[in-house]
Amino acid sequence: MTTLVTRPEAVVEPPEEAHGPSGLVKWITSTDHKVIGRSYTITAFLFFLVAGSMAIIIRTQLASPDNTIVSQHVYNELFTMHGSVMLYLFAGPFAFGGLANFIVPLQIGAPDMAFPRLNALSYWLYLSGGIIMLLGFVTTSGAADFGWVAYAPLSNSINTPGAGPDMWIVALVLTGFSAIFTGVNICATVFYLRAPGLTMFRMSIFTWNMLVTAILILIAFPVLTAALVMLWCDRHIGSHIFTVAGGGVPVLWQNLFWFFGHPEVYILALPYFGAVTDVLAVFSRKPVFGYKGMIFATIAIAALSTSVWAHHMFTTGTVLLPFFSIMSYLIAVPTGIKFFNWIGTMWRGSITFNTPMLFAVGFLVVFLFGGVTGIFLASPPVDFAMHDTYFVVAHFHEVLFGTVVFGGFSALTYWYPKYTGRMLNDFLGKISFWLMFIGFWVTFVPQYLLGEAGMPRRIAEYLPNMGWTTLNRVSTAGAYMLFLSVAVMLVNFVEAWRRPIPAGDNPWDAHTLEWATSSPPPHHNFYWIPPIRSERPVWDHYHPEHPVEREHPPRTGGDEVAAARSTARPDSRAQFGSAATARGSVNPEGPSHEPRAAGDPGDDHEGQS
Amino acid sequence: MADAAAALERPHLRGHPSAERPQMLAVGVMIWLGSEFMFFSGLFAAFFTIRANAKVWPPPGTHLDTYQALVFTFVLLASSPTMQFAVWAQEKGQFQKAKAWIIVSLILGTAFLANQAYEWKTLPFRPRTNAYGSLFYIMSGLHGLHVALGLVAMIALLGRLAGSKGDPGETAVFQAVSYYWHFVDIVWIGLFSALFLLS
Repeated sequence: MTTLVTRPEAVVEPPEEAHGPSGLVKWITSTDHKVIGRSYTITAFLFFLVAGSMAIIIRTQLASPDNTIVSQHVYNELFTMHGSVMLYLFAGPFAFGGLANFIVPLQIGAPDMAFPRLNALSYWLYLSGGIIMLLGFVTTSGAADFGWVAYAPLSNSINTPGAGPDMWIVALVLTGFSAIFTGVNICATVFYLRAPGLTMFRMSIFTWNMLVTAILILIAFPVLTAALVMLWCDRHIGSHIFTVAGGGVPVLWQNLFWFFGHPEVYILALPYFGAVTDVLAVFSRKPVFGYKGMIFATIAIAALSTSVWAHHMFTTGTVLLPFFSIMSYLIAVPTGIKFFNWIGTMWRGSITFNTPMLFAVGFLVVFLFGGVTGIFLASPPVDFAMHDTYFVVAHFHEVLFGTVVFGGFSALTYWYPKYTGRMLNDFLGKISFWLMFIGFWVTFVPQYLLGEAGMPRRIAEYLPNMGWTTLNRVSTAGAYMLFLSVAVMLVNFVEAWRRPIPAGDNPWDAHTLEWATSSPPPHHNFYWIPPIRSERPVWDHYHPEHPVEREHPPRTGGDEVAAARSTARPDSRAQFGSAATARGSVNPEGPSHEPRAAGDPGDDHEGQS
Repeated sequence: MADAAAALERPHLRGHPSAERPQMLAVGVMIWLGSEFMFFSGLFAAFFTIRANAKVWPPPGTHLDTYQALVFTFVLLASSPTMQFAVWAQEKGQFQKAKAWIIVSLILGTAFLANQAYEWKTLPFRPRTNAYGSLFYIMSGLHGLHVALGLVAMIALLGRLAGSKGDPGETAVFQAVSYYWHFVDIVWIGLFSALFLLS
């Protein structure tokens, strides 16, 4: 068994034709999911750097008591925009814009997304929303400074006047539409454009998670849009939805916002869960342990996430504590199932610790601890003590940083060869990982302790006699380590660009369909698709020595099937290659309309459809 | 009927399972309407929360012409079947008939919007009067925006009928607009019940 495998030589790839314009015009006019996906990834990564820089300023300000590096007003803008840019412009779009666009059509053997022009619209809405949000900084009022949750009545026109907050509202509506359209697109793509033989229960966990995320987006984001529209009306036409004066209800904003906000946490997390699942399986050389359990756990998390929003509002005194507490605890069950499945996937595998795998394992550790502190906070008595302290800050950073940054870097380093056709430097990747992993704990463990010591979140200054100085210093040092880690990752990208190491089709010996095509893939993605008989079609093709595990008993039954299974497989592999070539290629107009796997002799014996 | 039409448009796929599936565009619009449903749910959540917190509902001084609104509710609801007749005519290739039914739907929808404009002009309360006024104008306004977008879509369908006939994607476009229009009409039933009958 070799690690670097190639596709059958029978596959003749026609020379890549020029498709339309190139350069800037191509970037602006393209409806190709790979171009859009790449744009999303790069844009989201730039927003990550912007929001990360804000975090560095925040941590520098907090390094010493009574610090005045930034004014209190600017500090409020910084933590608001740090949260908003990270959550709305980086964490979500990096996975659900970038990875979803680039990887999902490839993983299901499709030539593009279901609605390519809608997809382009999504990207441009997202980019304009992001720019509008950041442009708030150049208005006279400054950017939005009411926190990323914009609680009423702080966010009304009396307490937070000016154009900056309005631009924040508009930016969120635009990125919200972008997410909704991508959600529609992903659903239609997964329902309609799967390659012949790729049943729902043969899709990779990553694609499954993207589908569930898409549905969750369709449930959660429109509610935020509705709330934002009402907030805008309150600010501009003098309506009284969130103001007590005319009979409105301020806490209604919290209900509406968190009905979006809690599913949003899973909208951010589930795509990375999926990516990490793929990575763990690939680098353990094993199928995903508990494949269906993983899918049902994802669906259960998504379903539960719509009924836990009020655990953000325990201290408002307006919510039914036992109900929301129990529902929040329940989420630990499917998440626990996922954890055992992740461990089971690695168990007794032949694990190699390449950069993506290191980040994936780092994700497991970090997210586990974040999840456990989440169980503390789901208990109302603990929450009453810890609410709005640094304990909460440390908790959600551990959960979000764990999934989005560790999971995201795992996904990015894993799929980088498919995006660019080049390998990243594994050594630099490992340095970056260890800096991040150590820096992470150095940053956030002191914040748990600070929370227990009573330090409230969102304060720009504290007194020297509070006893918080040392822990804040340590936390700031950790933040600089994180900054360094990202810098090493950037150096790695530059190195890969300056001194390319060709990746080949399938450098990781992975098992999902995107690794069957070239890196980067040609215009319509596939000239050849292997027969799909399990959730690991590429592995089945390159490793005929491992028979496919069947989901259903063979229809014809009896000894002849066993015989066919042991003898016909190498044949079937060779013949499929030639059959595929004879047919030219996968029909770029839509592979799902093609009669499935014509000419595959294995077809008669496979009892599934 | 939709399936039969889809099969007609793709004769090379007749008998193949994919020919039996509903069209991708129509399904995509249905999925998107799910998100629209959640959007209006957010507005209804605001309505019922504020109503539950109010001592008197509606606040004193709220005067509505419920009967006139009821008449125009039926006008809007009547436009749903007329839109559906247009889709069925288009599926059968009767383009003149389809065009006539769309024009009827367009007139009904415009009449509804005209009544809404009249209401907005004559009602004694404004968004800033009280929370009921805010909800009334925001909810009916956002619904009116949806109606207006539906009318624009109908005009686009008329434009499409003016061009070359038998465009293979055409039925899906008609179905998509009709799904949207039915959705807008059904939402109005909820809005009318909340804003007029419960007030």
